[in-house]
Amino acid sequence: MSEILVDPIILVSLVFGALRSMIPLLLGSVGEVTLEESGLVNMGVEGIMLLSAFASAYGSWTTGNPFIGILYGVIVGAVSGLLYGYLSVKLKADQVVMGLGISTFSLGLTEVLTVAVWTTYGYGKSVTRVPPLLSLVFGNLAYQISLFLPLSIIVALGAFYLLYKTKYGLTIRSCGENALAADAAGIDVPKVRYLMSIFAGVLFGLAGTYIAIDWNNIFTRGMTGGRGWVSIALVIFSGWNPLAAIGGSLLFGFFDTLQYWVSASLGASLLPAQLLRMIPYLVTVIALAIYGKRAKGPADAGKPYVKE
Amino acid sequence: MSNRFGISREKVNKVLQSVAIIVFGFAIGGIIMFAVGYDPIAAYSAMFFGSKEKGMQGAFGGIFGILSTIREASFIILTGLAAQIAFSAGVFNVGIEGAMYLGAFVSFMCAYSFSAPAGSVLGVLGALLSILAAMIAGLLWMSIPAFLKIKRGAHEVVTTIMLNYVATSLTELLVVKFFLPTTGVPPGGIVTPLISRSAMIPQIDFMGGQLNLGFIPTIIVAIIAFIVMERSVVGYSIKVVGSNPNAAKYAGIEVGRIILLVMLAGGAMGGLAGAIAVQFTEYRFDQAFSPGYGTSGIPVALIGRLDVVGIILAGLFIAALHIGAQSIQPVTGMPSQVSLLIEGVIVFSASMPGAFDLLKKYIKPKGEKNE
Repeated sequence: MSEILVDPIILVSLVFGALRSMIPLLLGSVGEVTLEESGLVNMGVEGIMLLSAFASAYGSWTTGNPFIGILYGVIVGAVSGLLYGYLSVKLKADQVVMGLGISTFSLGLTEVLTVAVWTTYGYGKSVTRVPPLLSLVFGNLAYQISLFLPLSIIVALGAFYLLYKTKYGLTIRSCGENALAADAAGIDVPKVRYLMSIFAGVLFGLAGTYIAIDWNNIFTRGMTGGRGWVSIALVIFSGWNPLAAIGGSLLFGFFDTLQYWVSASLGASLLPAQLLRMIPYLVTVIALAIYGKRAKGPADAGKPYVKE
Repeated sequence: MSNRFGISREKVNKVLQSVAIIVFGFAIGGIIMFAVGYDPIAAYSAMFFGSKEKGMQGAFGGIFGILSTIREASFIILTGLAAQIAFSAGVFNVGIEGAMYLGAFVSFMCAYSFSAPAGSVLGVLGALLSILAAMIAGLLWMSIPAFLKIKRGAHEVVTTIMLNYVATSLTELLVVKFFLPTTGVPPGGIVTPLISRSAMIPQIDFMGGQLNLGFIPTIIVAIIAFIVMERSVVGYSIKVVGSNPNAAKYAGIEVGRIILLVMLAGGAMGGLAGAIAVQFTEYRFDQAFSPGYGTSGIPVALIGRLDVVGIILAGLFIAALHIGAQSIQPVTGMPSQVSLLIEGVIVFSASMPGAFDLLKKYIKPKGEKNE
């Protein structure tokens, strides 16, 4: 057992696996953090990720160009974000219920579209994958670093800078902290929330795109596998701080990848797959149990803003 | 404002809103079907009335269809009531699915382990105790997110969804570990052996079909839910907490206890749904028994407008949608998940009471006061 644990090849693959698994979680949680700072809560992350995953696979499949796939995924994310913003701001939709609705809807819609596009049930056909940024060789195995890895880290750093180091950040945060006061100070609260909703939608779209055409090269039913929900949990875990979200995503990515690693290297006899599959979800619950109380988010997040 | 039938204007409005939401769901579903190249009329007709050529009955196109719809509705009304009681207190309990899996497994374990002559007093007692054990299992499972919400402030939507994943993996693990240790997963799926005969609640021959008796516990729960929600102090307190937690605090209502109560009650109802799956329906634990009964409770509670009678009607409707969707695939080739699409639009539209105010502004004649 001890030789297995210190085998450098396995350790290296575990590290690279964690770096792969963290990407959608980081994009999702940074999007949600910036959105919540402006006062909206998007509970439809899972659904938007899934819609974008489909769109990107479709784009890559029809054109053979994965960058068109990325474009499709981003557009679907942005449009979903805009719609979400419009319905929350203008029609004062209940943001939790709407999020659950989007998630259910996207499961149904993507399955219908999968059959319409690929005439197969439950999964599509393989598509062109986004080329890796670089390949690193350790021993006789090659590990690929995704383009999305630096992208997601830059996004997290940029979001931190935007929120806490610029005057725009102050504007955004004031909308989330006290919308009435922000309005009195002459800030266009709905406009800020629309913009942040689109921005968050783009990040959710990128996360879904990454899952479908970078991490995988095929669309499968419900392939986001709860990562949207984990992203929302990570927002609380990281205390609404995009920098902490980098660490949090890496930690969760590690647990996400641990299950594949243990079953591959130790075999199912020692630790059954079902037990390992539970780990990321259990970790999320435990993290919420520990950080739930301490966490204090934007005061006005999730409350529809009614202009007096 | 009531007319001579005792039906208030408000109630009529609620019903109209629900009908509008359902029509909207079907309209969007139809537009999407049309856009991807299916005939929505043919699909919906297959859904509700089946197709003679393909031998499918849809939701209402024959006795098998109707009996299936009733069976499906017993689950969905139960999970809808569980969602309703939580929503009424402003709690979004999405964890009914997990409680149901735990309940189903515990119901199976109890009903598998005891044996008594079928029909004997001991046998009946064992069957009832297995159901009770399932409810307790669901309740205990739900105490985790309830505790986390009350004591740690963890958002129940996230914790319950995470715990749903844990519950399905956990029960799968237990079945594979203890009932399929040598064979691994057989082609028939992850299933256990049958429970003891005395714990099986039989299905009744009815006009050539099999009537599942799961609707009986569901109706009992619906009656209890009605009495509690509409005729008791507890029900009133739940509604006060849901509409204004601060006012509830001033009125001396212990908000934490109400939240605990509604979540545990939901857990017990989920556990009961699990017992119905095992002891009334499949007579064993099948890992794939639920097509998402727990999640379907959400649209049911929403279009049932948090009203017990409304939830029964809404539950029958969503059940028809599910059973009907199974006929869609063989008839039109469209996947049965199309029902999720329609359900999603329904939940989505139910989130926007503001949309109705907007509509009212255009529809209502000038000078009439908005309610």
